[in-house]
Amino acid sequence: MRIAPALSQGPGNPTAPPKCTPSGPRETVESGSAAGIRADKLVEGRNHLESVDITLDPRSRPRAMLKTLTITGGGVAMDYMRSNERRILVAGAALAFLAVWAQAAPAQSSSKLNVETVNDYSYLVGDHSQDTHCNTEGDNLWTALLASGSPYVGGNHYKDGLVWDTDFYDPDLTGNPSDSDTYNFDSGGTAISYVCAHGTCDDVVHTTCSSDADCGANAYCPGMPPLDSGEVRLCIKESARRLFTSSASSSHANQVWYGLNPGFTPYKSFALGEDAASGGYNGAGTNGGTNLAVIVNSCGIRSHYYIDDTTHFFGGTHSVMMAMPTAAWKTGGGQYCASDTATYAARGSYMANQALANPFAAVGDAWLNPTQVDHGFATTASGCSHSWGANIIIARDTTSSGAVWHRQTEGWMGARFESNDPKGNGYWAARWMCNYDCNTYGF
Amino acid sequence: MSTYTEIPIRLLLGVLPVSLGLFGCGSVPEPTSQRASAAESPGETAGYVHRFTGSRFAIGGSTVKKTEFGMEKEVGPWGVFARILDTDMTEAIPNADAPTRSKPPLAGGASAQTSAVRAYFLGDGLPAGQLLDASAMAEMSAAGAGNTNPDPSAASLDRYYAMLHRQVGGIPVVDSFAWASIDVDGDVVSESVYWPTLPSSVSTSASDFKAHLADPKWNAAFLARLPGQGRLVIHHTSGVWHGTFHAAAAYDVPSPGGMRTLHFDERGVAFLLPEEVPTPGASSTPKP
Repeated sequence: MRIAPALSQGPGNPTAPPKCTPSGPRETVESGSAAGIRADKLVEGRNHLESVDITLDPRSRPRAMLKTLTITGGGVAMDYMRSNERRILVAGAALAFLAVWAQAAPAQSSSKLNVETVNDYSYLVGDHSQDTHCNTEGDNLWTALLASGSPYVGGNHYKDGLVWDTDFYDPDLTGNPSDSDTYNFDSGGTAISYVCAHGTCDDVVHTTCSSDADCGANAYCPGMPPLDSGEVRLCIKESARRLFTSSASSSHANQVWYGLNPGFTPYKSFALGEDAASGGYNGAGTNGGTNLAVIVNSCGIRSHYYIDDTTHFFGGTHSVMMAMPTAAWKTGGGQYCASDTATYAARGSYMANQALANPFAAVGDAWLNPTQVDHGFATTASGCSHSWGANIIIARDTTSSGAVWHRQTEGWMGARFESNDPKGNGYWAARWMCNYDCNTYGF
Repeated sequence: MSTYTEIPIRLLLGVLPVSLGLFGCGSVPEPTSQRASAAESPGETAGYVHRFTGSRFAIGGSTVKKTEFGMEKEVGPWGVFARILDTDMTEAIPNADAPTRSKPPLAGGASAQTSAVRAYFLGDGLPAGQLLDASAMAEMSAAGAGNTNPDPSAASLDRYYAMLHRQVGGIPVVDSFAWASIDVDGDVVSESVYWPTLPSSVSTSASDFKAHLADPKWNAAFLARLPGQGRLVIHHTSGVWHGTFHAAAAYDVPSPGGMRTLHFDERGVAFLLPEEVPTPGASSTPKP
């Protein structure tokens, strides 16, 4: 078994701050008789400010102390040039400027990190033959991202038998009061939720193919680089995906079903991010809260079915990041092979490092980082040699531009702001990085 | 002929506490310098550090130095060039609104990108003799409405990256890398390099291991003790590892259970890489 800021804004709200334009250009702001304070850099979230760097106009600089004033969601930093005595003049102007921007400062942000990983599958399968390295992946993320000075704080960190399948099922969605993502994977105030566990590549069928037509309905012939001599591609059929836990305290046979089987209604499990800021539009109330979800499992999402595979996921979460093995083939010797997600102990560390190296980077860039993707895939069996795959980020929102913004431009800081929660999920945007040239060869 | 200590795979985890930390032929290697640099002693495999001064990362103008979270950063208007102090791994990360992120890729497709990145790093000092291969990676995107699976052919190319892999004596050094993405103007959109110096003991033991594997009789006896076929590689700790640097040759085999790679030394003894060892004291938070 291969076993898985803010204040709400709107034209009708008299208390709303001035509407901010996304990705604002550089602006020059004059502040009365102040020493020419200029906003050099305006980096905005979808609805509000992420940060602004203010520098003094060079004409006034000889009289002034303040060189740069950086206002971010985490606070204010001032860099001074010279002696103290001129600080008051400039600080006064700076404070006046701050008062304007303070209206756009985020009122609520999330900062918790939740990590759930399963190494030990002995409860589920009876021995340790199916164990993974997921725990060290999660440990390394936890330790690195919660380093001193980080804006993140520890939420839940569960491993092995404390990872229950009910942690990932939304009780409002399922109607089952035993389900409890509300207090676990999708708890309120969560910036990032990360799970690493087994999945299954059971959707690979033993039908060889050279095109989709060879695979029939609801199946496809995966694109991949040229195979070795004698090898031939295998079809992948659409089917519901799974995440496997291994706990005596689980209630769903240690399986988290999601996605759908063609002809049937989608499974109800993951419903992420729904809270007061997003509103309840996903059939899952407002009992959740995670802003970013990372799901690492075997064959957990497929290149041709990533919309179906993430049905119900988007209730307010800004984006979901997953690992997507892409290849399936039969060797010249008759062995059936597929690429698979690899547990990579440094996956979490690299992700944390990216977030701390540049908080103004797009969150998706850390997941689509070539180092991650190059190390993130393996094969399902020895004798199989093609570990082709892609990391994918998917976002949904009420508009196409909103979804694209989350996918392409939302930074680590913006991802913490509740005011950036999508208020609907009618539009989607996806981005992926393959560890091969999938533009030429497909996937 | 070498003799083997049989450790059946089914008992693998039971004996792992004994085999943890074993590298090479039963000896724990001396801690090596964590800094990648030109070879400091005979037999060492020279590393390569990609520094800010040699970078064509489009950082957007003058920079401010900042040291935090174990990194020395050059912070510019368009992004950050960071060097991890413990390991000398470097990375250039653009801001989300950096103009380079919206520019088309270098003209000429995947092959042009691969050639340009290869030339870029070789020109900066990456040891040409250690280059295993250079391969293209594609970043794609798509958008739509509703709940219908999109036609994959409708996706568009955002940019190409090229990944340079490393080898020593023909043996892949799987944890070293150098990658970059170059845009239509020849600017580097993002990049990262980790190419540490490797101790002489590693290249020697890897070479011996390779020679043994080339002997059919030795090879057959060795593989008979493993759960499957794999390949000989050299591992080292990652660029974001803040513990002691380690490097070792390993025969990597996919785990029959999936999602995990098993590492075997020349005796056929399984071992964990340092980053795979469970963190002492890192237990779960209590569950209410």
